[in-house]
Amino acid sequence: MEIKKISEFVWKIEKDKAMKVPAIIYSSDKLIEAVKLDKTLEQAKNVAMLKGILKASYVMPDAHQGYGFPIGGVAAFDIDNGIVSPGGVGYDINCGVRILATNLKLKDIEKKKKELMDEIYNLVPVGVGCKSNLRLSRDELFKVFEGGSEWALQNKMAFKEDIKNTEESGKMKNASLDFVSKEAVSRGLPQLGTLGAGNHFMELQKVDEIYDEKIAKVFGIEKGSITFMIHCGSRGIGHQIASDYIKEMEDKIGFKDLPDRELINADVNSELGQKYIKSMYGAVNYAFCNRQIIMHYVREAFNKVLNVEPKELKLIYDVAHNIAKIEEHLIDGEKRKVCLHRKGATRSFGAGHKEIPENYKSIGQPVLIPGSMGTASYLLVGTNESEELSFSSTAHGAGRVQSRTAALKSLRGEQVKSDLERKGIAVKAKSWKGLAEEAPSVYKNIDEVARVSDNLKLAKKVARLVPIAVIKG
Amino acid sequence: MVTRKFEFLEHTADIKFRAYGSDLNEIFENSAYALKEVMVGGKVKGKNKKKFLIINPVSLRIDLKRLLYSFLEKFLILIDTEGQILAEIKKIKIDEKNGRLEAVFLTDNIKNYNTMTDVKAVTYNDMIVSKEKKFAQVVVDV
Repeated sequence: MEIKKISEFVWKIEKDKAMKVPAIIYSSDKLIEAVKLDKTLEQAKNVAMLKGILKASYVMPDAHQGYGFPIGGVAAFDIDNGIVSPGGVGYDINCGVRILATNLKLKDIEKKKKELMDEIYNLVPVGVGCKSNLRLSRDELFKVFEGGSEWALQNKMAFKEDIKNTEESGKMKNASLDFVSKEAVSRGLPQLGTLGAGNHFMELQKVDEIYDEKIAKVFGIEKGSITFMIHCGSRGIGHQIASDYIKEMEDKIGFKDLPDRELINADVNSELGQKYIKSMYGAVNYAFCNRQIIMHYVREAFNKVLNVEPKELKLIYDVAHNIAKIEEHLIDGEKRKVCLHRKGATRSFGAGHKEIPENYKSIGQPVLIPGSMGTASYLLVGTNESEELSFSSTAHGAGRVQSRTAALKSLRGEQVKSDLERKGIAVKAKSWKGLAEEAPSVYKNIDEVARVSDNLKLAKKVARLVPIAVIKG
Repeated sequence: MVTRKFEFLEHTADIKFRAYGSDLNEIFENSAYALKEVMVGGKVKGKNKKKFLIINPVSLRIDLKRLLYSFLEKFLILIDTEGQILAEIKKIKIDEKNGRLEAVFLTDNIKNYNTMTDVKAVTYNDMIVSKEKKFAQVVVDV
């Protein structure tokens, strides 16, 4: 496959007979080598073959191989003649990140750090098969599906400002539970307000560097500020909806003309496409609500251990990084509604965009690129340049470079823990093996991912955050 | 000669395994054990008896990949809904021609074990089901 370097941070695969558009890869000399090693480029090329794709199949700097679509893939489809694909969203629908600002500094928490993390660990269910503290009925689940974070607000687990500072205000309209299987519902009932396991984590952080003082001030942070990050998604109900619709699309539409079975899709306007979109939107709402409830527990823990009022922990922003939705974008100078897929990619609307809350309207949307457990994370700001470059999208994380099996051969959980602790990072984990699998060394260099995003203006760096304590499922 | 039941292979982001067997029943059975091993290492006590039946849709009647996908997915649903993890498969019967699979197996509450990795979903990525080569290969999303 021929991949051509266009400029310092841009590579391109020209359109061939089967592709409807080219593939554009945002990367660096360092990052592109790993991208070339797995199936990322082949998958980006396959996406470029799908019906109704517009402009290009984009690949973000943290990309690695996924299922059907690459992780770090962004693709827009015409809403009249294009498709929606469950594989283009991913199994973990609305996997995403939120970050809280505090008025605290390291000296305020250092002595109570362990106690604080123990309390959070007590309040937030983590690990494989963990169960919610809430007893949800089907009717309540229906409300979560339709209302997203609003459900948490109604149940006194959110402040109004939280809702405003969540992508889509924590609620996709037109979501529905009507087309969701009973298996998916029964997976969703016991899991609201749980973290799960795998790459999901909660992290206490310190602002280590500020790149833009003015914007950092609007975000409510300064050098040395303590922040708290939550990374998780829609749990079993999202996974099951993805799987159910992949299967239903296979049965009803078939995959024999597709380059990869997991690119299975339906026309946006078809009955099946609409059923998937409404169900997926419901899972998106469940995930927003899930992170909101977890944040509520975190506030309770801060209150109990440090006597910090819940209102003093301010949600800077919550972003989704596995999602498809109808958004308006500029295509050949014309504003068009498209079905935009971001799979392992983060929205990065620039200043003035109508979907940004008032408090951020003059600067752009906060963008979060979490590192892997124990490495730095970045807080960035969306740009207007990203509209032309990537349908207003950037990276979503570090992206793995080493397999879990290789990690387990070379690393032990206990060792990973003591290495992190030597760096001053406290660790609480449900599983030693899980800890080794998620060790910092198995991920791409987050600083390099943020550098590429910043240089291209996919999103501009505002602050670098370093972990001081981590909770993992 | 088949000696291993299953093994884990290199995969950058997720978990890939191969499960072996002398026939389809055994290949499927060992795939389920590999999946269990991802989530809970070591022996699980068989306390509760469960069974299920899977039938492929008409359009994909003889599609073994679909059958394996649906089979393994059942164990993920069981964890999230009933908190039960697979201990032992007592009986498995695959009717290939009609795309049917019946399984009877024992489980235990996952709370009684040290869990490791959360499997989000079974995928078709790099999936192979080969009776001739006597193995199945699966990548699970974690």
